Amino acid sequence: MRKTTKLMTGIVAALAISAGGVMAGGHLNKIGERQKAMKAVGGGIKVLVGIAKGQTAFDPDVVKKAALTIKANLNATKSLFPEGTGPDSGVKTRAKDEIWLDMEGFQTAMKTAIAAADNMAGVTEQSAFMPALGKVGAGCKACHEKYRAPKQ
Amino acid sequence: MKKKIAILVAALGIAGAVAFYFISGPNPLDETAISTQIASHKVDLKNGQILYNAGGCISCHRPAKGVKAQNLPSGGAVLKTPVGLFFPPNITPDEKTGIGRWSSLQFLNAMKRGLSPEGKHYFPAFPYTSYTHMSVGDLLDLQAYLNTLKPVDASENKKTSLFGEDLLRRGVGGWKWLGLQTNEFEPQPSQSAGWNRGAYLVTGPGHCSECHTPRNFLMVSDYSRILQGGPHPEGKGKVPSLVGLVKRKKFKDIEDLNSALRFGEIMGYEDISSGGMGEVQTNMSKLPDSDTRAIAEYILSFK
Repeated sequence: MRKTTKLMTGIVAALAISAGGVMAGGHLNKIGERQKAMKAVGGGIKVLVGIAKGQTAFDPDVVKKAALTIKANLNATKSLFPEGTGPDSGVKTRAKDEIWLDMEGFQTAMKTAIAAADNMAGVTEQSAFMPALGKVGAGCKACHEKYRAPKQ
Repeated sequence: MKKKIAILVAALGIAGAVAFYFISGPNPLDETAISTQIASHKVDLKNGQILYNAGGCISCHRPAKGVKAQNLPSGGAVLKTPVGLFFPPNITPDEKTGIGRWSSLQFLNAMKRGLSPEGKHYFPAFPYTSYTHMSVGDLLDLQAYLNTLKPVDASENKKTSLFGEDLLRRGVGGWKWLGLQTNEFEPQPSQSAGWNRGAYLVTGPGHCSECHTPRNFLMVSDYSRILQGGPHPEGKGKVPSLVGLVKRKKFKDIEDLNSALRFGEIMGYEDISSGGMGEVQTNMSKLPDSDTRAIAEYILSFK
């Protein structure tokens, strides 16, 4: 009896959550998805910065893995900015209106960042590491400067 | 009786207008006092370049989109403020549209008193409210550096045009009379050389307080609440406080903050790019390491 109650509660809760998602327009989930992807990008950056700061040794395999994580997650976020998921969506997001006012510029900036991550994935020599990281950093910055609001 | 009151009100009005006329007039530097300083100054162009980057002049005096030489401060790009649209002017040494013909005194009056060569008040969107604290020698170096830049003809630039501008500028004069502090920065002997250098860069050329220090009812930086954050100058959101950065776990130590200022996102400091700080960081990355470190030392002394 108790088990069935629990199960029923679970089903009802699950239905309520998914219904909520549909009611919220579904695509609002994209905000959560892109935040998750960006967190993963941040994870990759952290690994690279650790190397840059000399906290961990330069290892091409580690660099490649981190760079590919960044690349894959940036690629994933490209399509996670549908109309209606901006500051007026009612969901907390630092994405600025500028993204939708200038989608082309936004996607170009995203492409540049992805290319920088791709370039980083091919770094095998330590001497090429810092210049490649400079490009990755510039890629992140270009987007964040224009299209991301500060933490409030 | 009514007539008497009317006369009294009119008299007061006239007296007020006369007082306002004098109060809101230009208050330039004392020419004789400053001319000896100008005459004895030896120009240091490298220092001028450092101050140019510390001030981030290019960020506001940027050319409009589409102009080729984006790295020259020929002005024209729009600056959106709650007061209206500003088009910062050309500060390359072009003789007609820039500041190439300005005398040292004219430049100093612009930077220290917010006055144009014609004696008109500049709006404080141009942060002379901070530059006024700079030393005369540094300002002369900055002018000399600006004069080494390639002159750009900016006759095509849009110009600032506000409703009732002349009267508004007079209003700025009154505001200066009420609240503008024109004291030069004075180092504190009890503090380290680094701290004092940082304090100078932050207070003067860096004009950090324009955004990071809240304003009082006169709309001037309230230094009793220095660097405690304020409203965003573009009218939306807040500019963060720089007090207690270590305690609030934003930065570990001087090294950490220095690294953030110098490298920004290259070293993974993702929160320094938004809200206009990205551009500030780009400018600061061009400073000598000792200067960004000094800024970090000073900022982190606000526990």
